[in-house]
Amino acid sequence: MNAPQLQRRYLLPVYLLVAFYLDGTISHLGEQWLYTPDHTLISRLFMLVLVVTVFMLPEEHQLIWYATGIGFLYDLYYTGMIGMYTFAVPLIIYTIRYLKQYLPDSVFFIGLIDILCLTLLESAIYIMNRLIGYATITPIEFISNVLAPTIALNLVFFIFLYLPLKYLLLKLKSER
Amino acid sequence: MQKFFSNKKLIMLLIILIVCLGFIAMSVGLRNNKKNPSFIRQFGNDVTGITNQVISIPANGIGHGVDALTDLINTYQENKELKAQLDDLAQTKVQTQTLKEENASLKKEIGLKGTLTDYTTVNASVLSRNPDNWQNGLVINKGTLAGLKKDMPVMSESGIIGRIVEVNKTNSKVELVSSTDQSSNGFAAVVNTKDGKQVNGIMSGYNADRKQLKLGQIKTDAAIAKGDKVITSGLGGLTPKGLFLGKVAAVKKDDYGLALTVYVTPAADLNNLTVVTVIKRTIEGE
Repeated sequence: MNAPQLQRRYLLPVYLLVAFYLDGTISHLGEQWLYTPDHTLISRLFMLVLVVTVFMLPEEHQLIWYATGIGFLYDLYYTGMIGMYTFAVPLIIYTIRYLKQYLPDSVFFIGLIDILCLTLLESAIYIMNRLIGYATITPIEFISNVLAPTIALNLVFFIFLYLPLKYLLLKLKSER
Repeated sequence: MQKFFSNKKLIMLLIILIVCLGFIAMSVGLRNNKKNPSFIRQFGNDVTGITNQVISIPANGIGHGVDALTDLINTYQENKELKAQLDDLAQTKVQTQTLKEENASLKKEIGLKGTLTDYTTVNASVLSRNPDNWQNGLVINKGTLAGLKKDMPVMSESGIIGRIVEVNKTNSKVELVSSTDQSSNGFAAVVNTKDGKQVNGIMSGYNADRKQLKLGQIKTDAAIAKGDKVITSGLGGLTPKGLFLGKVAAVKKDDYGLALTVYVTPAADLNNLTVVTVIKRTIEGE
């Protein structure tokens, strides 16, 4: 194993945590615009950071554990239902790490994978909430009122944050 | 090229899925009974809550600064409207003060320690909001150390917004009345009709499309009209009497034409919360 070691790798969990907290803060400050009866926009910055990390730092082998940690924290702190994100987030990250070897590292594909991840995550969370009775809307309503607006919001985040995030992550690699 | 799911991994995946489903079932069970979460969960939540303030305090500061700026633009218009209400308010305030004093002295005279209307309050600020909105949850910055308990009602300035569903040492989770969960909006309520009658009922859910609470299964002869005030009745649980829930928006007959369903517009704006008040009832009810 002579994969390049990441210097200052401890910063990656810090980025993830900041994204995790920013999700809550964005939802709190923008609740008038994000949550209306017609649509629900869910901010998923932590997913964006995870997806970009998969492509920018493929040598980070701990990423699955970070994903598990963030998922667990999400369950603990935001929803109080341990098991949903703890299960879904690492599984999705595992899947895209596998898919990555067939895909070119271009912005377009990273954006596409981000959309795929969001679709998987939102659907998984919706199905689990439906099972325990918190979500009452039908699947069609879910796609039009929750999934589509959420993807739109997170694409905006992707467009604005991709370059700064790429810079921050590659910086972890270069300073050896 | 690695195989995507080898047999070993597939079995592991299944085991993890089953463990996670077990944890979800446990969490749902915890939510439905009165116990506090286990020490490890509380500890994790407390640490997360404290570190959250590093992000949320500056961010909320900026957000509220912007709010203040937009408020400033609306101030002139608001000022005109408020002035009109002010004279009326002063009179009501003095009257309430007098009645309160009279009430207190009368209670003292007959030796009554606490009634359903007595409560103390704890102010808390909102730390963050659950981004996925299935549970309509908030995290507030007070917990058991401030004397909070599970199922206590939570108000904004104008009315009830929800209930506490999980208490940790330094923060707790609030579920808004707009949630589909019965435990957060099942308040025992009273409608005060215009001709002085009182109609009891229990909140039975939230209609997301109309943004209104439902007060179901009411059998009464009293005429409930649009605009009648709905308050908590103080029966059962930890909710005191006389907290403002909202105003009647519509009255409908149910499918069999026997009972009434009353739709109530919540008094509080559920989507603009920065500071909330947790209500502690003076007399404990089981």
